[in-house]
Amino acid sequence: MPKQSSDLGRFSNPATLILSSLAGGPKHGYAMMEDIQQFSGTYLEPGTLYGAIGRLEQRGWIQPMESEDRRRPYRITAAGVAALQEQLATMERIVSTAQHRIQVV
Amino acid sequence: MRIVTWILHFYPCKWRERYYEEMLEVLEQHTISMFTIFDLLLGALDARLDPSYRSEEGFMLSRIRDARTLSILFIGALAMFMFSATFWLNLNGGLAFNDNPLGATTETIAAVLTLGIVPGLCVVALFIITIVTIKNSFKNRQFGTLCFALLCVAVGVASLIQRLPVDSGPGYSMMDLAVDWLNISISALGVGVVLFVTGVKGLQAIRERQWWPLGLALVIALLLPACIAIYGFWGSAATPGGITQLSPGNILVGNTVFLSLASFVEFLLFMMVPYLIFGALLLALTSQEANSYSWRVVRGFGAVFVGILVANVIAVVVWDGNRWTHGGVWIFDPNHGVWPLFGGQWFGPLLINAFVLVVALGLGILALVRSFAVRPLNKPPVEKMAA
Repeated sequence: MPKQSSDLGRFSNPATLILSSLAGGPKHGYAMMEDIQQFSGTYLEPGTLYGAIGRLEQRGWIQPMESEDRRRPYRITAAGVAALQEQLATMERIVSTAQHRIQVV
Repeated sequence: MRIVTWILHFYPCKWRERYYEEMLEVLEQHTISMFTIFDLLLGALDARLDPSYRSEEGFMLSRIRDARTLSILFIGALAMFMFSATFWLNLNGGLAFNDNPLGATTETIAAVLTLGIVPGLCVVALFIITIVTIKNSFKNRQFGTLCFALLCVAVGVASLIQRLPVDSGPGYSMMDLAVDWLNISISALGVGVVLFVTGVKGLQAIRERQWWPLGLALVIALLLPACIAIYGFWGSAATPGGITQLSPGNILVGNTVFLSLASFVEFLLFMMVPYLIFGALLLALTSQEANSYSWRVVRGFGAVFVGILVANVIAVVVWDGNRWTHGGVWIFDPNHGVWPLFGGQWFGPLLINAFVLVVALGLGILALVRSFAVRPLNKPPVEKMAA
């Protein structure tokens, strides 16, 4: 169980989705929503999206970038990459365990 | 889109300083559904519970930390206090609509009227705002505004026409005559100024779509007529024949003010002046003329008002203590309450008075304290976008 993301509450799943999206390059809010829907089929609502963005920013996992208009892009930080890797490793363990158990059943 | 913009105001101030513009941009591109609204409400609740968005002063204080908002709230609370005091007095038989513009005979209310409202607001703040507005109108050649100023002064003079000529009987000295004329002139000018500021700033608020200060000003200005109407209906009683008649104690019965339209208009105009002043100042505070000087005036007014009330409370407690030890009458006596706010037989208005007074005092003190404090915005760290 990743220790770092356990306190993200209801935003733990959106947080993983956002980090995964930003791993592909900096994006602003709406671009993240579109990208996440494309690769995961999940459509994050703005309230959930910005709740998760706020928490990720507080932890230093993502960083806002300079912008000339209202659309502020974000990038993933080194700490964010490490947190994402940790979470993906956990998910991999869950997936492999679940697959193994399904085969037994 | 309007409803989601409105919902964003439920988010903490710190959150809005940081994400409001971004969120608006996203929402403009997003298809708004019921789920979006629910999600935003949930997000607002979550942000409220997040300690990192909590301001240093706490939830309620952070909402009213802005000096302008605080001053506006203070004016609103003060008007409500006047209204509830007026209403209370009338329900308890201290009927004096003819004696005092606030409908009160007590020294407390009279002191607030004399020392607080007239010099604090009418003479200083509104006159300054009027002068600045007229000066700007000259500069920008806004002749409509200048004509309106003249019209307001004319209405002010016309409203006093019934008091002219000054009745000078035997033993009437030149000093009395001068004081009477001065009184009439200042009153006429005061009415003109209040009408002018209300008209100009009201129009400005309509143009700039500032609905909430406009609505609040309107509510304040209509408090007294509403009070009269409520009291009039409250005092009515059904006769055995099934016809609703006004009860003998009703202010509408035998009151000469209500016998002719002209006397009623004059009565209403003068009775409404304190409330119109509140409304006009409220509108003025939301406009460009509300410069730092106006804030200082509001602060000074707040200090005077709060000081008067605090002194009043102390005096009442001392006086009441004295009376209690000598005559057994004390402050919460329903029949002989010493201070008008804490006596009487109607406990509903009594509680409203106590509540409104606490709110008005609290806001007044906060307005004084917070208007001196300057708080920088919480800007996020940004990084240059990689090429």
